[in-house]
Amino acid sequence: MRLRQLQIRLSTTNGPYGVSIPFTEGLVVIWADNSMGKSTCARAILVALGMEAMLTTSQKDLPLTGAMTTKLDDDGEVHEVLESEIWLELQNSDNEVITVQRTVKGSRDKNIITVHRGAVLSEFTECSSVDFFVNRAGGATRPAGFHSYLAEFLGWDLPVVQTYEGSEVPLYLQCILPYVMTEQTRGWSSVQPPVPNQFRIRDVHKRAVEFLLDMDAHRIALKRQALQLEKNRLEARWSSRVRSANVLAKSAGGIAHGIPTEPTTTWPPQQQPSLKVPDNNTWIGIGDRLRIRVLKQESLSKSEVPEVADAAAIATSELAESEKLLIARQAVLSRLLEALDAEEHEVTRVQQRLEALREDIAHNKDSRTLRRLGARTDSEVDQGSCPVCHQHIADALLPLSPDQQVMSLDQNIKFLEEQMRTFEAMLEQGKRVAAARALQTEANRAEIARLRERIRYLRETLSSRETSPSIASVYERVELARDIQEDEKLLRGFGDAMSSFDGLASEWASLQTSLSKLPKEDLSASDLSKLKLWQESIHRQLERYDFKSVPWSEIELSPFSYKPEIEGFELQTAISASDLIRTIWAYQSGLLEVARECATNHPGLLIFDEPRQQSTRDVSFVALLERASASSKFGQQVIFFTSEDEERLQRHLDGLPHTLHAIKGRVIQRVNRPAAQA
Amino acid sequence: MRSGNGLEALVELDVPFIFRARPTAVPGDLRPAWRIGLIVMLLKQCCRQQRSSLTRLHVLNWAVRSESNVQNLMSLLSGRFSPDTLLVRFDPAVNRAVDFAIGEGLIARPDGARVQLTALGHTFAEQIVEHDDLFIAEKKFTAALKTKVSEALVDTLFK
Repeated sequence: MRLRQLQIRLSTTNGPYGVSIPFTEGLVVIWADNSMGKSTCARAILVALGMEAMLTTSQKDLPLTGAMTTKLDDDGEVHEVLESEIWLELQNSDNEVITVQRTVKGSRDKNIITVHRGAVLSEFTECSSVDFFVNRAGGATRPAGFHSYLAEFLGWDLPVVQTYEGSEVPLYLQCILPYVMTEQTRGWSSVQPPVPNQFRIRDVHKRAVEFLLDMDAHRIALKRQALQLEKNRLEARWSSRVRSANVLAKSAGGIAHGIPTEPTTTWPPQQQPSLKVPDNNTWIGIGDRLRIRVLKQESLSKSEVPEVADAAAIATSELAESEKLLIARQAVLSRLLEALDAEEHEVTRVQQRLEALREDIAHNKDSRTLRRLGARTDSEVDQGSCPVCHQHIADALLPLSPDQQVMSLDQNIKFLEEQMRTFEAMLEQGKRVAAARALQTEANRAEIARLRERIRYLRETLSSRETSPSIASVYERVELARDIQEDEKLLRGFGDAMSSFDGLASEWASLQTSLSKLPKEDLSASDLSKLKLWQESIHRQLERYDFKSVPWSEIELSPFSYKPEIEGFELQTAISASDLIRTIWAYQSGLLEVARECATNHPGLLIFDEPRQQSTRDVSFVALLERASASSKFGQQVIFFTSEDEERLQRHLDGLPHTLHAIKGRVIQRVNRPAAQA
Repeated sequence: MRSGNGLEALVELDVPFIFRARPTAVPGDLRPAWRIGLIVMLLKQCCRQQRSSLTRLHVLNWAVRSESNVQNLMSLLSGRFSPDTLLVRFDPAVNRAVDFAIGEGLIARPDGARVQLTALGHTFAEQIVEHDDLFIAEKKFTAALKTKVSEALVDTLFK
């Protein structure tokens, strides 16, 4: 991007005022005396581009001086400002020229920026105009937003970045432009320029540098982030499937066995997961139980439902059998209950033990804190000797055998914490055992109820008329059919649940492959070479600028923050104020210079508002101007706003390709022609 | 079993054995620093004029060791308990801690039966009270008991 012309137009009670500054390629120096309105021009450029967020957080007022909004001072005479406008003509790398127009004061909405598609200021061409909005939601995303238009004009595809809240926004232009334009009031305070933080973008400096240098790092980081997100999502889905399988199993009074709790890349696992249900005293698979039940049904269906007379003999023996079984079951139940009780007791015991350990740890930690309290700093007891007779005493109130050592407090705490870990594991285990036992008890109770029912039907059968069908047999058949149906449903449900893991496992496998394909570090080889170029440029510049605080050759650009560092520490903290200014020059120009050799997104434009040459030495400023003047060879543009002594400035610029635009007196002056043209 | 300590069997195994004395773990409440701190705090929080008989110190020390002890003592205070249903445990560690505290100049014994905080002990107690992470459970109990456990009450307990 290149600026072609800036025009400020005011209409006052004393007629039109304004200023027009043309910009050429290469080094452009705008000179005016102090407090004559130089910075107003610099700020006007930002405002024309809708970048006021770089200067203020206020949504209401544009960050411009009173001369543009309220009262204009012209040699002691004060005139009221009626209307004011900023016009800025720009050119992109395809040599397309546009002129933007923004009203600062007047009847037009100041959040509207009008784009004239032509060189309205320098060539007075007739062209079409479109209005765009700024400072409203969507300014950088919607087609009617000026920043979305400007990004397109610059050929920029803005990366999507994360905010602190986790939402995604485009990397706003207001966060990139500070790297192109160093603004006077805040720009000279840190190596990386101040970036508006109201957008709450995470790692905003990093993202801006990565974008300007068109580095792969952000894309790789994004990919990694996306994969990480996907990983979390898959893990969550996996564990929710595991949970629902467990719920299903529990509803059948059983347990889901052998489902891996963490995602796996292959499915099914080596040991096929199964739904286990209690059967007598052991656990069997639901499939096995179903098979047994179906076999029984088959054998039953081979014979008719017997009549009481026929069934009596069998029913009698079956009754006896059932009653025997019931007694056995009840015996088992009472044993189970006893075991359950013991196990639950064990759990409480372990809990108590844990509580005691926790208390003991607290006591030990108390002792440690007490020893550090002011009033005990020179306690002899804590040093291990008696305060009265100065003999050695152990750190305990227990009677000990003479050569018995006691643990130090830290050892003791560690010892107790290790015990706690053991007991916590025991508690886990104990709870698991108790839960399984409770399940078994439940199953046994259900079995007893079933047996009782069966005994009742058998008794009814035996006491009914001889020709009626055996009630027990009928019930047995009905019950069996119902059980089979239930088991089939469970088996199907569990099978479905298991097959859903198949898809997850293959997703997990492909995710793992993608993760392993990502480079270990975020920086690609081309990123590294760009950083190296940048660092070399900074080195060469600092050498020329007479940088003295630390040996310039030891300064390195951090591959993580892209800040200059010295021996791993941020450079800014280790250097003098004037060297900070030099570093800022080198840092920003360095970006521009990298853009000469590599493909980057840098607009090829650099604006320094009052580059603080006063705080450095002449020799440095000359070197800076010299360095900047090279920009014309590469079709780049470097603009300085300065109030350096004019004569000295002339001397500095002597022999350098440049354009000097010197403004005597106030920058905004009365103009004789009418301001409105377009 | 032959005579001796049973180590003869090890000789026959013919492998090198190393015996190393491990330091003993000490319950946290039997560390001098902890108990001295507790006693100093009890004198500060639960005793008028920061002065107490050893017997009362034992009762207080026993009380703050558990929730149920405090509750029993509170019921006694409100007259719902007869004194002889309480079984106060005298902890010899208290006596040892008191001895150390006297040695360190944290408490003094103005007469034979009673102990009292010294200026140094007072500072120490204040530092303990101000420190939020110290004696978290015990402070709850002392806040409940305040100075309600009087010498007279303690006397009724042991008569």
